[in-house]
Amino acid sequence: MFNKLTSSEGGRGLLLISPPFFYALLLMAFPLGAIILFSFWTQNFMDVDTTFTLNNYRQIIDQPIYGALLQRSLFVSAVVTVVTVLLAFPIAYFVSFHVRPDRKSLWLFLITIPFWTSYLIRVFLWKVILGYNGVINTGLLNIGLIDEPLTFILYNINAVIITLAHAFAPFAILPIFVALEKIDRSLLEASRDLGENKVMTFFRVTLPLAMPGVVAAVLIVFIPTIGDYVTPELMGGAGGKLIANMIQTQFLALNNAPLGAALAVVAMLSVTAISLVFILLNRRWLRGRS
Amino acid sequence: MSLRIYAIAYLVFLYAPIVLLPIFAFNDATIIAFPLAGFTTDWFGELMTNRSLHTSVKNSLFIAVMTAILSTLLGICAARAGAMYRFPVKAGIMGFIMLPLVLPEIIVAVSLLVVVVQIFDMGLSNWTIIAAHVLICTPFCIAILNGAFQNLDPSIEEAAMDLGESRFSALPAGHFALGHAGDHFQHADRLYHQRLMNSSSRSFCPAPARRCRSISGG
Repeated sequence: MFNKLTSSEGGRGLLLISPPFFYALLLMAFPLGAIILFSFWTQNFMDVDTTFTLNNYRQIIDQPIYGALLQRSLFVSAVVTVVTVLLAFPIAYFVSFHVRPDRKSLWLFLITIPFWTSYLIRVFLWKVILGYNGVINTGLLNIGLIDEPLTFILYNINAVIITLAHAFAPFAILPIFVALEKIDRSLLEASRDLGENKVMTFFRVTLPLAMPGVVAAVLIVFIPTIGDYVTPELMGGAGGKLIANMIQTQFLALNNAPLGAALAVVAMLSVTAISLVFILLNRRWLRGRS
Repeated sequence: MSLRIYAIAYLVFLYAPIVLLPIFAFNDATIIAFPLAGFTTDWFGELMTNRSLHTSVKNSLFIAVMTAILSTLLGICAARAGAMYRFPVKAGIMGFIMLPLVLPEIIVAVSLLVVVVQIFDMGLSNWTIIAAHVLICTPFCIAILNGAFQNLDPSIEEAAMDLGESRFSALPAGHFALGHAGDHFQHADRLYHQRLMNSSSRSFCPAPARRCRSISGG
């Protein structure tokens, strides 16, 4: 059996891929299945009642708080994505087009170094920057631009968005950079030779060719931000909690795993649906380049 | 020129929180706020005496080392299989293994929690943390190792086997010399940019492996 498996290329490949495959099966596919199953059950004080019911989903639809939280989460993720990608594009463009080839890895290194420190520490330090006695407020007070500290920059949605936009910066820069690097520079020359100016060349040649990177950046920022609960927990204050915090609360503090599971399923489905729509809308940029 | 100014401003934004960290390590106040109170090195003295801190550091180190070893091993299997062999439903299997990259973390976390606590009725421990970290880190390892493995000519391994190495020993002989760049970075950290580069190129824009390598600084 073993010899038969190792004698063919396909067999050897399957044998080699099986440890990571079974690991993912056991620790990802199986738990995800369990979560879906749980969402159709109910919590009965300490035990779980395993009769099939749609009550959890009904509760999510009926009680406005869940819908509102999900909406707010999707909104925050969308804003974070737009801000991050818009800020990241010029950087990726600069490194790809305006930096000497031998300096490119240095720049990429500079961009990634801040992200070697713990995520939690970075969130805490954003509190220091944005806080009541923080860097921004003390700075502005000293210059005399404001008379009292600004309060709209910490413990609300703005703080969550700023922190997340910082945390996901390299996730947006690098896919766009890769896409820009792949653009054949002679295409830009051809466009200039045919009479387009710099701006039009950017919009008609560079940007369409960079779109696969932009789409990748959008997805890789949008999807994980929905699942982030550390930042809203620490930066969001009372009004800045998101769906991930609610899922965590249901599982731990409220001991209602089935409702938490249903919320997780709903959140996952919404993110998947939005991502698929986004990919469909952009399919003409992605076609023929895979 | 204006792009360069923007780039520098952006770097300031990226580094702003990091620069503050050492400042407050030497600040003589218990709350982290401005204005600064005065210079002190007391906090470093306290590091030495705080027992619970020592336990936490040991736990963190243990989890980090075990996670690095296990996910690198799994990553080597997957990256090597992906780069060197053709096998049935390869794209599907590779995509499946890379999936934790894009799953929202809260969902991975609660689903594992349900399985561990409610289904297997086990307690939470360092090992459950390691198991979860390995799941999330393996795709990082694969992404980083892919760049190194894909640069490799399969004939080098064949040559090693012709020269008397077994299939298994040909692996270190051939690969780890050439796969060095990927390996080296893998240990440094979960290198975010590597993950991005390779995962995005996987689904949307396969970059030439050589380019991924040059980006990794190797």
